[in-house]
Amino acid sequence: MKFIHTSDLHLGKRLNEFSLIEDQRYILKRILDIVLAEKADGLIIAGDIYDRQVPSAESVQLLDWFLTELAGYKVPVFAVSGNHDSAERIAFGSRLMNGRGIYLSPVYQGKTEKIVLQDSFGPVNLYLLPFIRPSVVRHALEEENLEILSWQDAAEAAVSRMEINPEERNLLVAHQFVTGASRCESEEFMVGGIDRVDGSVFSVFDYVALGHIHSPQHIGRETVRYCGTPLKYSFSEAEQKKSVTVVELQEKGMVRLRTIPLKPLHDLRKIRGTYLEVTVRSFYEGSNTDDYLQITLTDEEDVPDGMQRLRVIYPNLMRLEYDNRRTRESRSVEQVQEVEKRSGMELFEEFYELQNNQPMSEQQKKFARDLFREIQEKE
Amino acid sequence: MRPEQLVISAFGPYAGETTIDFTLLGDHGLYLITGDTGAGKTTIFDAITFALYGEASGDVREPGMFRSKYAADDRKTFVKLTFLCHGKRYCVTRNPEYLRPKGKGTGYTLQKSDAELYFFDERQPITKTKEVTRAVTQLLGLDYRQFTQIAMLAQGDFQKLLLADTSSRSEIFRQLFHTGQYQELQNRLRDQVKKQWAQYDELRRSIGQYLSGISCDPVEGGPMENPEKAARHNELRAELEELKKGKFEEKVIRGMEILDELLREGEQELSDLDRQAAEAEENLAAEERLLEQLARREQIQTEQREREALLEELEPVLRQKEDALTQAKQELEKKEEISSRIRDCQAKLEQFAELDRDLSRQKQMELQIQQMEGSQTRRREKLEQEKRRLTENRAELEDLQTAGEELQRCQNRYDQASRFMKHLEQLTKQHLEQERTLIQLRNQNGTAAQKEEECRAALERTQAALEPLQNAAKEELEARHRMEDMQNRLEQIRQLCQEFSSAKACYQDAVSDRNRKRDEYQHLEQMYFDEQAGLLAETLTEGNPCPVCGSRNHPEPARKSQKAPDKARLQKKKEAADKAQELVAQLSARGGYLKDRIREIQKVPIPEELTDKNSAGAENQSSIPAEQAKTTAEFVRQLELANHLAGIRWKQAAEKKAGWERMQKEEADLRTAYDRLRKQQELQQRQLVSLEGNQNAIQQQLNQVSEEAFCFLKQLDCGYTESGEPGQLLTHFPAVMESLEVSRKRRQIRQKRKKELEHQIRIKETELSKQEQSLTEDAIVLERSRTIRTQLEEQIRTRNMQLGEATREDTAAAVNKFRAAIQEMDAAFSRAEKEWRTCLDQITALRGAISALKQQLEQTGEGNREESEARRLVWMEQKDRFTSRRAERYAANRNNRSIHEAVSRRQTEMERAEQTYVWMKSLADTANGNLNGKQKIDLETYVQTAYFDRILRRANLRLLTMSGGQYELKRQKEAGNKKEKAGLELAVIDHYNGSERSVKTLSGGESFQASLSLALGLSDEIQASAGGIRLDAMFVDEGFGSLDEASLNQAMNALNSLTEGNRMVGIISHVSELKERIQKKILVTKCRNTQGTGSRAEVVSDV
Repeated sequence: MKFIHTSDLHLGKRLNEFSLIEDQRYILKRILDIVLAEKADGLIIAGDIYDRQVPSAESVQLLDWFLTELAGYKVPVFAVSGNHDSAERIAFGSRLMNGRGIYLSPVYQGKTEKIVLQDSFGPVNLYLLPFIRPSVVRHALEEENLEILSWQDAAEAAVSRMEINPEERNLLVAHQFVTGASRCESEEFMVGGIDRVDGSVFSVFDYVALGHIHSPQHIGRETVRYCGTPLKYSFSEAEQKKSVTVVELQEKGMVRLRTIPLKPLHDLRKIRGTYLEVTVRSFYEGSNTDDYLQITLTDEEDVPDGMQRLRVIYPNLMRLEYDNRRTRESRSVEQVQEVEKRSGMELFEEFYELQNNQPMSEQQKKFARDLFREIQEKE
Repeated sequence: MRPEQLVISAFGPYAGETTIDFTLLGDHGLYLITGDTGAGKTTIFDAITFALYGEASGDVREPGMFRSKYAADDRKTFVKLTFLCHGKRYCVTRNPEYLRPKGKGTGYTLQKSDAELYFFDERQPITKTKEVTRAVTQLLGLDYRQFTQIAMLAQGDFQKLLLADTSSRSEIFRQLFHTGQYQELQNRLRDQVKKQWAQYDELRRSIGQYLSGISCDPVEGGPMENPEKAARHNELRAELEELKKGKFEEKVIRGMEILDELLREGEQELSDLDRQAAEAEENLAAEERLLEQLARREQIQTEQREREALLEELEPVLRQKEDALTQAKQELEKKEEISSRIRDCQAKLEQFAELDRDLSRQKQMELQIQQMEGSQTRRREKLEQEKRRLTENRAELEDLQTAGEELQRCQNRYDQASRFMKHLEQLTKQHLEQERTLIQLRNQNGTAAQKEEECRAALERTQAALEPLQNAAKEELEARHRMEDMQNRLEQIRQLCQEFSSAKACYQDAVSDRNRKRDEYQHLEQMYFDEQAGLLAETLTEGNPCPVCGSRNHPEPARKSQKAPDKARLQKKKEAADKAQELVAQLSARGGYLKDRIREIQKVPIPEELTDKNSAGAENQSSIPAEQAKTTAEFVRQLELANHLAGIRWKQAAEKKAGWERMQKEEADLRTAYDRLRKQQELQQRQLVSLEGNQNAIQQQLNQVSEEAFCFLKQLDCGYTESGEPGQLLTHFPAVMESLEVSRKRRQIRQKRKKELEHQIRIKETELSKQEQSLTEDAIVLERSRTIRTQLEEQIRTRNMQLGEATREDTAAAVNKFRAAIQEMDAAFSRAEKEWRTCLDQITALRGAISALKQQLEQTGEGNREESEARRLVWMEQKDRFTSRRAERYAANRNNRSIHEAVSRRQTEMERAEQTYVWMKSLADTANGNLNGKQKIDLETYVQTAYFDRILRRANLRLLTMSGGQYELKRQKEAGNKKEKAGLELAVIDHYNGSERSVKTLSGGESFQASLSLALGLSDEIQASAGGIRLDAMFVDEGFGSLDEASLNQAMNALNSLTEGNRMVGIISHVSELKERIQKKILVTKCRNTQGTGSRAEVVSDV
């Protein structure tokens, strides 16, 4: 049985005031093509479908189109809500859509129903676990009076209630932060909590399709995997290669994985150099000047109207930064520690020279020094 | 300052008593206060600020407004805050002024505002609002204004710090960075300058006053006869009067000049007057002298007459005295006789004395002689005794002569014996050791040889195994290349096939479309042509020839059908058809192009070994060229197969290569081990040889030494007759040595005794000789004393004879009588002489005086007294006049001179004061920022700019991140206009277009970002500058609503990074994203139910 594993679509995301909806449309089309080309038995979307709790109108339309296409091709979809989504809004109409093969995770109430698919090797059980946090689990399992204080406890409680048959093949779709994952800029951290879950909680599953982390990686064993975002959502991801993961479940114990790279409509990359270097024709000829760019200028002085002029060549310029002595200095405030503690008298002499273009005379120095001493003694 | 618990009662919208426990929110991080509008969010901050300082958090509310209108009348309004500061806990309770119902009776009374600060240790709590506020300010290190600008950013007020001008910023910094001393310095300088100016002014005025006192009299007649001089003098006087009127303002120098001139004039006049007065004086003196002389003359004459009278009296007296003197002389001659008699008596007395002396001496001698004789005999006896003992000792010494040599011999033998023993022992030990090591080493050598053999065998084996695997690496590389190549081609061909099929479909569509369009067109064309006739027919008129046939008769013109197309439509259809045709052509071209590409790929044959020999049609492959025989699909399949095979081959090759590498490594290891072992073996061999050599040498030595020892023992002749074997020698040696030892000791004792005796004998001998000498000396002395005795006896006898009967006392009395007589005679003589002499003197003196007076009289001249007197009076009068005039002038001059001195002294002082004023003023102006034409920056501000720069640097770190690298704050060095105080103005740099502009041009959200960064930068700097102020808690009231999502993210990041460590940051906001992001919340809700209206606050920690 073959699944395409993707996650963190973040439909409707705006990056540096640019709307990425067109790029997302393009990449969803590409994913659709891949699903059809691979003749996959299902598409997994592991959370963060929308970028906001209340998504924008065009992102809702986009998802609507996507799911309808997939349903039209009779490809089942297995999606869970992530921390950016509103669980209730994602679960809207899920029971109605189940009939057409679109399975969306419900709001977590304590029990996780499994979805059973069949293939030549037997049944495959899919479990959809939305993004949970301790308070949610606590609320759902109130009668049982459990001690759920940490995220780890919450995850363990949820998994233990799933009634899993270890003889059969089991696949989990979840959206959590598993210990050992490495992060990048575009992820959001939880304010005020420690949100890590250890990977051992999922040991009983043959494959765990995870979402939440934006760079593709596996945690511990290869079959606990974050597939990463389909598009680059921050400049810290500029060097990554985005992909979808193809998961093939054969007989129990045999899981084959490979990735298929994704090529976006506009790439996201970084350019560095002086203003003259960056604007000379030979530099940008041949490259995609339409890409979303972050330009780091190394000129020592600010280029007047820099943003405007660079936008003429690179219309999709997102960010302009300067990396020169001045910025390096201002970054390192901690090193520029003590303005040498100068004495009051020294400061006064300096100030006098600055204002009068000549240094103090001896009489003045003596007078000032005596006054200072008097004042300091009085304090 | 970290709040722990807040109790609010009847305060703002909180009708009842509400408790908020901040400890539930943890000890660091962000928390959100959220709720409906008007529920009481800002009131929580107000409550905290009120509890600490007695004021609201923003500028809008006042403490009098805090009483809750929803509260029951009997509920008290107060706020109680328990907080931690520097690790200690404090509790402050405060209530505002409000009206409450009276305890007794009706009506309302004013409840005064009150506060209490409770310490949790034994200190007394502080009461009274002002005291409590002061104590809190001291504890926290911030007063109300600073608190609201740094730790609490109130609603609508966050811009305060950003938009403040220099003077208010300066005040804040003064408190925070303790720059108050510079302000103090400025003020002091200002005061000093004022004082200095006052001093200078005073001096100037006093000079003026002095100058007004110049005296200048009008000119009189008299000595100043010179008309020129007189005129000049009057001029000066006039000018002086004028200046005096003007109090010498600015004209000090001119005044001084006039003074100088006046002085000079005065001097001159004085000198003139002096001269004249002196003349008068002289004349007067001359006259007076003359008068004197005349008086004197008279005096002298009277004196002379007196003296002469005296002289006459004295002369007879003199003659009397002379007679007395001669008498006395005669008496004196008798003196000689008496003195000779005295002499005789004296001689006799002497003789008596001598006699006494001799007698005493005689007695002494007798005693002495007796003593000496006694001692002599005693000493002689002792001497005899000593001599006898000496002879005894000498005899003993003879015996012990030979002791020394014997001892020496014994010692030698002992030494030799010990030496031999030691040597033997050493050698035997060495020998044994060597034996042992030799055996060890031989064993080792054997095992090493074995190991070496084994190693060599293993090495040969590995080398043999390595031979066949040489080419493994190269093969692997080839296999890999081939595989990749296959993969690429497969991909390409697949894609191309896809494209080709789609292109074909398109093509077919296009063809059908084209056909259709073409038919349509043709049909239409036909219709059009058909209708030509109808068209033509339209233009027919009777009588005109038909264009077609020329007839002029048109009985039945053709009719246009309705459906006739016109040219335009036809044209359009044609174009459509053409376009369809083009499309077809294009698509077919594309199809052809794709096919070509596919064929090209197919051309490259698949390498032999990658084909599957069992596929269908395999027999044909070798004979027919590839491109013709295979269909594309088959080719693709074969390619896939080839791909697969290539993959397998590659894996094989890779394994082989890995095996080869492993073998190589093994071989290298073995080789090194073998080399090492061989080297070790050689080393050991060499060691062995050397050791054996050593062993032999030692053996020889041992034999030699034992022989010598044996000879020695035989020499000793101690009964040792056994063999000279070393072992046995060794055992025998100790006994021998013991006996030697004993005899040696004995000999030593004898030697010692001998030495003692020698020493003693020597001493004794010298003593004895000395004693004998002394004895002889004493004998001589005795003899001499005896002779002296006899002499003395003789002497005594003679003296007695000489003296006779005369006694001592008689003689002495006689002497005294004679002496007294002589004395009397002398006295009388001297008296007479003296009297005579005095008389003589008197007479001579008188004579002398008389002659002198005579002389004087001759000297003095004659003259008339009255005339002289008259002249004298005249001169006197003149002199008086001159002197008085002079005195006047002198007084005036002195006055002027003193003024001159005073003024010049004052002048120097004034100049000095002026100089000091000048530099002091420049110093004070610089310090106070009052320099002309320059920016009004005072010293304190200058110092504060350094701090401000640091704050800005820190603020910019955050602002740059929050605005995505666009904005940066900068200190403006000049003020808007040069009149206001400058130095701490802010401007913002926009990096997107490299421009600089005022802070006021930022939008609402941007200025919130900037204010937040500035506040964070300021709090950072305060913490870092070790003022003892720790800001553990920060409160931000609204402002987030003006930020869009991305900026909100950045602001959250900035605030979150602030909470690293130990800080709590509280935010009031209604933005929904924040509600989702921040899990720790205080929810404030309005309740409107039967229990009354009011608000509630609840801490929710939703982790």
